[in-house]
This record gives sequence, structure tokens and C-alpha cells, in this order.
Amino acid sequence: MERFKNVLGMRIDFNRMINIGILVALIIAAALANRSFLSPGNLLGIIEQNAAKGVMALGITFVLITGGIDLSMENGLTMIAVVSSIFHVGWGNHAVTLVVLCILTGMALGAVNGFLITKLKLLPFVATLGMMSIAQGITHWASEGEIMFLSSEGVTFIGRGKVFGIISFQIVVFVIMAALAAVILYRTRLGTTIYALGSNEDAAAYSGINTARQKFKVYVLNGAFVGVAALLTVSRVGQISPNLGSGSMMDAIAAAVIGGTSTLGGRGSISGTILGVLIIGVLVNALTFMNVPVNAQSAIKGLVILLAIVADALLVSRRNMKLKEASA
Amino acid sequence: MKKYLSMIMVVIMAISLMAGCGTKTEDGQSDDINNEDVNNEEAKAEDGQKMVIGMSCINLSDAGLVLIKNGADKAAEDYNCELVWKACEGNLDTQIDQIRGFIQQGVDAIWIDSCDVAGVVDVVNEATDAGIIVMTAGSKVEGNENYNLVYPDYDDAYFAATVIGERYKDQSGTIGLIVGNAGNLVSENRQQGYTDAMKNYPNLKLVTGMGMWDANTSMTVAEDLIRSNPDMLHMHIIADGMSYGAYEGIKNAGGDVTISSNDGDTDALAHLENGEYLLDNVVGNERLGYWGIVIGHRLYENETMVRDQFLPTYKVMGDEMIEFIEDNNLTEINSTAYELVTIEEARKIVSADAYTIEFNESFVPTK
Repeated sequence: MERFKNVLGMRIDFNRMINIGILVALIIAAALANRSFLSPGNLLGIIEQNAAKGVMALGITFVLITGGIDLSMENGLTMIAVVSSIFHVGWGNHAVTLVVLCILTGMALGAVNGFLITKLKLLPFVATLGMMSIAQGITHWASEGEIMFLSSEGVTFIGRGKVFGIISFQIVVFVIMAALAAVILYRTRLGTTIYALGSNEDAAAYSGINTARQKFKVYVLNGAFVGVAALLTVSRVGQISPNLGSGSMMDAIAAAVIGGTSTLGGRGSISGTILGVLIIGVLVNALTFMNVPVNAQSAIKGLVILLAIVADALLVSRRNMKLKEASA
Repeated sequence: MKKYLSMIMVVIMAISLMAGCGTKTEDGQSDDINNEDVNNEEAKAEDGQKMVIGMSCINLSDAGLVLIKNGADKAAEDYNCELVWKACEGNLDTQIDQIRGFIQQGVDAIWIDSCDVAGVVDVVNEATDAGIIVMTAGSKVEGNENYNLVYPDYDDAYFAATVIGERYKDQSGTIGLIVGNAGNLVSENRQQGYTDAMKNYPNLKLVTGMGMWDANTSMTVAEDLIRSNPDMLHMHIIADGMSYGAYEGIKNAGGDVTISSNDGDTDALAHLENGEYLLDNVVGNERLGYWGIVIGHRLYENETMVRDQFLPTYKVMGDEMIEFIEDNNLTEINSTAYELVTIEEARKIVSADAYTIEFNESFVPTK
């Protein structure tokens, strides 16, 4: 077991092993049902399809580790995409405009959330729930329910272009954002603070951390990640519509939680979130390859996600009990 | 410094509100989305002659429903009606409350795009018992005296599937079908029609995915269907809004399949013209909205008509497909006749110039 846990010099914790096991089981089941599942096009396609959700999941990981939540992500993604695209089209169709606007608008959304939570002392659930509605309203107002197509070369490349003719640019962006998230979480003071805030906010405050300011930064950071997710989403499909981000928030949060991020705060990892994204992506894809009746797919998806979360929760509980016994 | 940065961020958020400014000017009709404060005076006509219609929708964010609203607003202008719009955002309880609100306000008619056809029956009967004309759009509500404004979803889908089945009857392979979502009656009727017709072609395997009425999801579903079925010959998407995403997904996955869709929107007609789509079904969402108000006005004028009113739909395709359908005697299937139109004719049908004439004084509702 020790040798298994120390694969290639890397210590893999038991929770991660469970996730890897689930992923492998899904891949085997789908491959047995339909060999085309293992085609390089499909395997890369799964990552490409989930790149935007993956970026969202990375962003929410920071928030969840602090013990917070952001319910405005999904409507926020749509709002960011719609607003940025309208200006992008109106200001000459330059891809750079869309990129900058998506990130800035995302950060602005995060800043408003952060302001409501840290300055007005609203509960994150309440504040982001309100912002969810506001973002939806802005989307409806700005788009007037109409579909708008984006056709500039730069945007098309971001959405459907391939680097060296093989790897989707969406995957490249996801990898970059994952690397950035890892650097922020593991190599910066902000990352250390994020864990401190989630583990014990009072202790963090007593140790001299300006908890309000750090929390604000976390929500702005999450907003930036949502902005990048909006950019990936709108460029991939090539159009804006009022329900562009539909379903993305629940999948993003589920991915983070499956990957071991605790909704109570203090625990989470980038690698775990990435595994969670892959599990959900492979699951959805596998259900199609296994010809599962379309009406049953949502229920089965929910069941598998629930099982993964329950397994993780049971293991954590068992580990905590062992630690208590050991320290007693 | 950081305080100023956060203020700048808030300002940027405020600026984003400007994205909605200066686009479309609103027409003169009452356009009160989700306004829970409509008072009795606004609902009543000033001069007693203007027909007041309460419009209860699922939402007003979906592109198709926005077009329906545009058509309805135009008809209201032409027929001197006042429309009071409310959206329930898919919540049945909210819709029931809104309909009861209309009853209390004493409107002349209520138009309902129901989010649950069984759930609204009681409140529909309450409205008709109160002497209010009730029109339920898009699906049949089994109330006592309401009028159902429907279009032949099942038959239209059956036709589309039969044409494809005949086209590929000498080959074996897979046909993809992207539907909306389970529980949505329009989606289920279209899925049922397509599935039933495909049973006549055992050489063709039908695989189905849920696009959730969303282009992004449809794109992913289309990619997965193409990759999991390398022998796919054709993909049918039940609504144009989803079809745009599915089209990108098919290209992205390297699929070489023919495509068909439903609704006859402007962008879909462009895809037809470019040869990217094979077949579409012209409903015309603005036309649909206009027609609904015309029916309501006729009922207000005490015209007699049957409870189920059908909107005529047309099958649009390129010349080659028209020839194929006529040569194979597919203009009538199972005693149902289908009218074929060219792309140019379809563009005219869905234009305001055409549907205002189509539904003028000489229009005859379903008798």
C-alpha cells in the first residue's frame, strides 16, 4: 500500500485514489460499450468540452476553501459573455477586446460580491444569490433575448482553433489556468491565507491577517476565472444567448467537491478539482457512448456524483476519527 | 490604492449596464416583464373598447419566446389590444398566481404558454368560469372551455423523419436526434413524432441526446453523438436555436452528416441557402405570436371556432429536396398533407409584411 501510495515519488492520498478509481471505472465501462470512446479525438474532446467548466471549478475552489460560496457564477458567466460580446461587436470585433472585457467584467462581478460580503457583512449565500438575479436581469436587458453570432477570426481560434493542429486552444487555456491556480494556491501568501481563512478565520485574524481584504481578493480572483470561463464558452459556441451558462455552476461546484474540496472550508486542492472535472466530463460523455436512455442520463449523472461525494465524505470522517484516536 | 481599485471594479460593473442601452426602441404596448405591481387601472381599458389580454409566459429570455412577443405586440397594435406581459420563469405556482391576478383584474382574455399543462387546468377553468377567453399556446390544456393554439409538432417531426428515412433507405447507419428536455411537451411531441417515423426504417438506428434548449449544450451533445457513432448519416435538431450549436459541434467533431431543424428562423434559412441544412419547418415565431392575438381578437368579436386552433406550418428546403419529396410522393403521409416552400418563400412567410396579410380579415381559423 505504501508503495502504491508513493507512485513515482508522489504521495497520492486515499481520497485521490478513490477519484482515480472512479475515473478509471467509467473509462473502462464506456470503452467496453463502445470502442470509439478511446479514440484520441474523443478523449481530447472531453477535455475541450469541459475546459470552461474546469476553469470555473478552479475559481470556485478558492472560494470554497475559504468557507464561502458563489451562486452568481452561472448567471454571471452569461452576463459577462453577453455584455463583453456586445461591446466586442460594437468596437470592431477584435478578439483582444473580448478577452480583456471578459476578464475585467468578471473581476468586477467578483468585486461586487466581495464588497457585499466583506464590507456590508452579508452572508456569501445571500449576497451571491442577489447578484445571481441582478446578473440575470442585466443579461436579459442587454441581450433582449436575441441571439448574436461572433465571427471574428480571433474569437473562432479561441473557441475552436488548434495549437500545432492537434490540441484545442481551449485545452491550452485550461492547462494554463490550472497551472496559475496551483501557483496561487501553493506558492503565494494569498494561497496560504485562503487555507487559513477556511480552517479558522478567527485564528487567521488574530495572527494579523486582514481577513476582509483577503476574502475580497478571493472573490475578485474567482470573478476573473469566471470571466475566462465566459470567454471560453462564448467563443466555443460562437454566439451569445440568454442561457449560455446553463448548468455550468452545479457542475463546477460538484467537480470541486468531488475532488475533495470541503464546502465547510479549509480543505481543497487544484489536482482534486481537475480530477473532479474529468470525472464529470467523462461521465457525461460515457453515458452517450453507453447509449443510456436520454431521459435517465440526468438522474444517473446525479447518482454517480452523489456516490463520489459520499465516498469522499466517509473517508474524511474515518480519517478524522483515526486522528482523534491517535491524539487521545 | 486597493480601495480605489475596488471602486473602479464597481464602476466597470455599472458601465456594463450600458450595454443594454440604445438598442431597440420599445413599441407602444405595455411591456411589463415580471412586474408584480400591475394595478387594476393599468389592466382595464380606458375607453372600454380596447381588448385587454393577460400574457402569461414561461420566460421572456428565450430567443424564440422573445420573437413570439414581438409578433404579439405587433398584432396588439394592429388590432387595438393591450397586452399585459408576465413571465413565471418556469415556476408553476408563480404562473397560477399570475393567472389568478389576471382574473382579479378582469382582463378580457388570457394567453398562456404553460409550464405544466396538467397543473394549469384548474386555474384555466377558473378563468373561463369568470367569462374570460383563455388561449393556451403551444400545447393542449384539457380545460373545459379554453382554446388551444397549437401547431402540428408530432406531424411535422414525423414528416422530417420520413423524408430522411426515404433519403437513406438504401443505407444503414445512425440518425441523431437532439431534443429539448424531458417534461417539455413541445420537445416530447417532436421527439415522439420523429421516433415513430424512424421505426419504419429498421436499417437506421436512432440515437437521441438532450440539448436543453441551449446552443452550448447542444454543441457538446452533437460532438458526443458524432464521436460515438462514426456511421452517423444525419442529425435532426428540434429547434433552430439549438441547431446553431449542434452545427458547430458537428463541424468540430469532424462529422460529415446532413442536418435538419425546426422553426424556420432567419439564420436557419441562411444555413439552408448555403447547403448546410437539408430541411427545416417554418413556424415563424413572430408569426406565431401575431396569430395568437388575432385568434384572441376574433374570439372577443364572438366569432365561432373549434377549441383546437392549428397554425399552418410549411416545409422549407432547397430545390433538390423539393424534387426528391415530390418524386417520392411524400407531400402527403398518413393522410396528412404537407406544403413545401422554397427558401425565398419561407423568408416571405415569416416576414411581418406577409403574416399581417396572412392573418388579416379574410383569414379563416380552424373550423
